[in-house]
Amino acid sequence: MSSVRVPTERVPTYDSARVKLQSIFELKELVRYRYLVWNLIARDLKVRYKRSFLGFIWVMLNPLLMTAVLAIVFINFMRFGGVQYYTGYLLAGILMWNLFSQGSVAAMSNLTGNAGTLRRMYIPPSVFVASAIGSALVNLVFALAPLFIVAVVLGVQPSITWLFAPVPILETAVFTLGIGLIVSALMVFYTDVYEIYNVVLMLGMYLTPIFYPLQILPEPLRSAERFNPMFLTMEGLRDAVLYGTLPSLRDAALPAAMALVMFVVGWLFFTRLEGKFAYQF
Amino acid sequence: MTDSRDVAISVEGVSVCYRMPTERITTLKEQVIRTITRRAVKYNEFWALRNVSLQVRRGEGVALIGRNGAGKSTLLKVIARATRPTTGRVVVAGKVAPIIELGAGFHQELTGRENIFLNGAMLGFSKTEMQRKFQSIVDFSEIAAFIDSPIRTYSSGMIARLAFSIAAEADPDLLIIDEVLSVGDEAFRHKCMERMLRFRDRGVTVLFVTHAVDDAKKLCERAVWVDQGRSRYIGDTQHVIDIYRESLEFDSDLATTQKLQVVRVPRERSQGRR
Repeated sequence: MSSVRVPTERVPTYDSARVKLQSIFELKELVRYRYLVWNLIARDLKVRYKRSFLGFIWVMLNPLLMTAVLAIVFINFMRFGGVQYYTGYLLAGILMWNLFSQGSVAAMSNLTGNAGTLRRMYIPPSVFVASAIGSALVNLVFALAPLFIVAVVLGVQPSITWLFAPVPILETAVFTLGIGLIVSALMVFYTDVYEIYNVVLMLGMYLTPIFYPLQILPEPLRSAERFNPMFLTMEGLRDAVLYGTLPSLRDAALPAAMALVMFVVGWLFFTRLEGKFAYQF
Repeated sequence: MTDSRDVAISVEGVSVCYRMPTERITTLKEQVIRTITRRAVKYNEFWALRNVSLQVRRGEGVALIGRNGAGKSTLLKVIARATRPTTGRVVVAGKVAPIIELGAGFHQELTGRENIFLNGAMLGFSKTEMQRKFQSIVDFSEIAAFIDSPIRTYSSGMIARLAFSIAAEADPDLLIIDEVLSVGDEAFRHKCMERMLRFRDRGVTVLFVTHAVDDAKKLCERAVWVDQGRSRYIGDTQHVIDIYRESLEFDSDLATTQKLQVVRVPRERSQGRR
């Protein structure tokens, strides 16, 4: 009886000289490590709410409370006329912006935060960026229920356009992934990327019609918003959920194309630099 | 000419160079300013590994011996893929289970159970695969009573046991162990050695970094003496140990002679003044 293991012919082999196209290779590795991505997302949710008082409800409660506060402030102090279902408008904007800002910031801290692990064992670094965006996406999905409830409470008729809602959400997720890959790669080399990016995010938050309607913006800004992918996807969600309208094919293609381009650019940037990560950690 | 299928690890002329800038640019602002003003930064090169070559056959046991800071861990990391070689080529055939520095990949807030699945995922296993291995991992590590407490409550010995059990259950073709067994007690080390010997019997390749010379001899037929980034000598384990020990004595002799010289000078001077 032979207890010596006879390895099968197809043995997984790592050859450091043979990895030709890092961008394709990393994509395959990311798929291979999908269980880890899922595990990290689940772990992030568990750890975040493990010792908190209200636990999991916070995922839904947090954006609702923020919206309530902002709605009171803006409705009473700013008096935006002409925005139908303003609270829903606000909530949809906040949820989408949170996906983008929290996802990309988490990508930065996730990658550098796991430097210790990456220093010691092999894990494709894109796993950490993907799990950060994934966590933010899961948070958004849970917060969608309150959005629909708020819409109905405000008087919106449930309509078939509600089924379109995943599209702008996925576009935002893909776009965020692209941005996340870029800033997290930069953060490995330069620590102040974190602060700089947070300032950029703040600027973006005020420049994107989250709290206010597009109409208030003065002219050059107003037309420029057509090229703001966050605005486009936000409006897509608002139109689908609150106003029961769907974009024309041309209007739907633009944010999708922007998201894809951003992802490809980010992916190429990240995979180009990741060979040098080990020397920085 | 050995059959190439027989080779588990092939390290060919591998160097690892850390280029450290003499002035550390950690901020993007500085980098931009420097690029604009075209002020070059000087780099210090630290060669953690220099032109190391090593061939390990499938089923062999090889020990890495050397002083701290010699480059043993860097060599392991290059083989375990955690670091990419600056020059040269590394080929590794088979599934690798590394234990490099305790608890890499463990998350302090999660329980032992959750960390088993997390670590398993890091090694590339799905949840169902880990579920099948779960009981044997718990049994081997002997921490069943604490399996549902967070890891931050564990002692380092318990963490070592858990880390080893997970790597052992991963059923690897290549086991890489970096000096983590020193944390455990005698019973644990004995258990691990036994397990590793069984791996050797089954044809698993083992790469072992240790300062415990007896363990190295028991487990590995060959050894590599790594010193200042170079593989100084590769050969039979006992032989390498002897050569390494000789080098240590030479170093300490050198230090002692230098010390004597330093002590002698003040006495002469004071005598002269009298």
